[in-house]
Amino acid sequence: MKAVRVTSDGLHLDRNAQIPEFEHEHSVIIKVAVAGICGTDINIKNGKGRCKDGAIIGHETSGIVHAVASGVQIFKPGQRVAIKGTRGCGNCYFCSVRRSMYCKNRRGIIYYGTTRNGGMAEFMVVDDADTYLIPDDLSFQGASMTEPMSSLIRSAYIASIEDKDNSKVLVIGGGIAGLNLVNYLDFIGVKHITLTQRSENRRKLIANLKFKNVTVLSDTELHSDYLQNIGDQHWGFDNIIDCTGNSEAIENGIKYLRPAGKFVMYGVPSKDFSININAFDFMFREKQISGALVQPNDFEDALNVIIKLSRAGRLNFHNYGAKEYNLEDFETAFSDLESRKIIKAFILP
Amino acid sequence: MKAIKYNKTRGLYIEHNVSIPKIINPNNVIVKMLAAGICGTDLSISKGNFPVPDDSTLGHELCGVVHKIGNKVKNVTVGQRVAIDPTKGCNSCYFCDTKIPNMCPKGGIIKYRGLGLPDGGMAQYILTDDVDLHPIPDDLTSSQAVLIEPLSCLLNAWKISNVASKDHSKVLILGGGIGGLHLLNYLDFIEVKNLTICQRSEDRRKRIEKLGYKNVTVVSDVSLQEEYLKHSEDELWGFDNIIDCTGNPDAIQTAYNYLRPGGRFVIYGCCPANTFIKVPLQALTFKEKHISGSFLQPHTYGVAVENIVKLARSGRLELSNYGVQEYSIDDYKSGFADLNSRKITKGILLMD
Repeated sequence: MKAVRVTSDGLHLDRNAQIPEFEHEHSVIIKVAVAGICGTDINIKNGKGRCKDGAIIGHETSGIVHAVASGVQIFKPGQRVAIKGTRGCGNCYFCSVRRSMYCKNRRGIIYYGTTRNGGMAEFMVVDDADTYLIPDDLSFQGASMTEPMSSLIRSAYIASIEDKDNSKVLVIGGGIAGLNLVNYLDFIGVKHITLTQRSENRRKLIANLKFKNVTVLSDTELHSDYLQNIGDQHWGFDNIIDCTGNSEAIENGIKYLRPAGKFVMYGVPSKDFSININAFDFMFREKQISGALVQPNDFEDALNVIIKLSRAGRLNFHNYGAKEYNLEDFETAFSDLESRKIIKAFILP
Repeated sequence: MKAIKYNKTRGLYIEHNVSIPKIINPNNVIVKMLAAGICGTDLSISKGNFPVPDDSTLGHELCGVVHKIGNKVKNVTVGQRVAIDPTKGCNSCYFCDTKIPNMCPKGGIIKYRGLGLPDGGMAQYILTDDVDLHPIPDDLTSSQAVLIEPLSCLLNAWKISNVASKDHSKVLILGGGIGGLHLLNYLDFIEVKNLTICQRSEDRRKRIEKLGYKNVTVVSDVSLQEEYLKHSEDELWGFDNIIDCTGNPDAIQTAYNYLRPGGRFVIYGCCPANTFIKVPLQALTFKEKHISGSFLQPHTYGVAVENIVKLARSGRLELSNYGVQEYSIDDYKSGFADLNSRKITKGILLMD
């Protein structure tokens, strides 16, 4: 079969990859329909992410059940499914506090697409515990968005929005992550959402998506609003989620917290970036900064959210600037994404 | 009447001719003061490191007896001993609506009795509102009641810590001054199982060890740092909840490294205005770490009253065991000086 593998000099198309076999009696072999590309995949391609040498990349996967091993009770060939990226043991301290990614027994994330073969291939072998049925009216593209949506839901959970009607929420960055987050927050009834997006083209695109309770600003507009209101403790946001990982955006963003405000790092900053937190200000105004990564158990909630968004007509990716590519065109997909020509790439093996 | 005040030019001083406060509105209560605690923040004020309006009366850890009541006051009677909640919000902003009056731009620090505009209780009388007052039982001494306000702030910090499990979470308290000791005492009382307290000086560590807590490990900053370095490759070493009760910038910066994944660092101890923590953000993101501030208290005072009574009745509030000492109000300078020299962990001014 064809598959995209990670090696020390980047990504390669393997035309003669072995079709996967059952690994144990709970294995399910999936014929992959869609493998989404994510920012983490770009980092892996550029040598900045953790990945097993030779592994097939891709952790945002959906497809059709092809074959099931003897111990698999629920799934049957032909069923449409989405694949969860990671799982904990369910029994240790970290699993018990919704932090399975630090699971003692699995020793951290075992990602499809990093330490196990992932979805940018014609076939993929997974565990039945990571397999989820999807309804017929959910597209494979939508289903592949479940994995990123689960980490966005995690970021919203960590942001701990006190009052959907009155809390002021800021999402920094209108790439696919920021857009999906705003989509989710708007959908669950958060009334005061601001989204900042640097480029005017993208702001136009977002305006076309017609979110109800979302104000879209440029980063400079917001910053100048901040400067005009310094000293007013009512100005600012209660919950800020950064979806850029950009140092300047983060440094400015922290200034936009109002008392008791919570800043969430969702976008991944560069490894060498440190910030000087004003401890007195954080203490005096009860501010908070938190990291958000992923919570494997959020996948199920995320799937429910994706299904509802889809049925509400809110998952029209082509309006978002998303594009599909064949497996052989993966290099174009990555470069279009990296050059910001598109906002999201789906590989269709 | 007498009152202890602060002024930028004179510093800390006692004023003898202060007018006794009068009832202004029908919900006011005049309380005759019995005891007022001296807190680390009061010490900062006396050194000019914490801003208060000139000539305001200090004292926010208070116990007194109801002296006069306005004609709409129903919850207390003259002669009742009460503890006084200093928190006041505006009752009509986002922060007051979401139950954090300590963050109210018009309330918060500005209206905290003894730290802002309203005069505090290091005096013979204080003007309060009926809603501020909490009657206390006869078997609680006035000095023990002084510890209610600090506990109410610690309860806020504990809530902000958001500990996942009293049985399994690893909790580190930084500092064995009165803040750290009081928190340790309370957490041990509510059966938090994995408590570590870090205290630099040996004599203060000895005091903690003498208190005989079952589930508490007492460490020095040096030994804790050694442990950290020994385990630098062990992702699972560290603490889930760290509460700083030192306010010391170096202690905060160093101990931030001791968080394990998902851990939360609470800045509780009042640090100087120019304190910064350098935080590598990728690690914070990947490990889902949290840094939260905690300041004053959002009316956790009522729960603090209940808990101080329980602690006292369990024999856990013998003040001398915690390094607390009483002084007459006239001897206020010794109280502040002994706190400053770390001879005591807390001074309590007695008005009678």
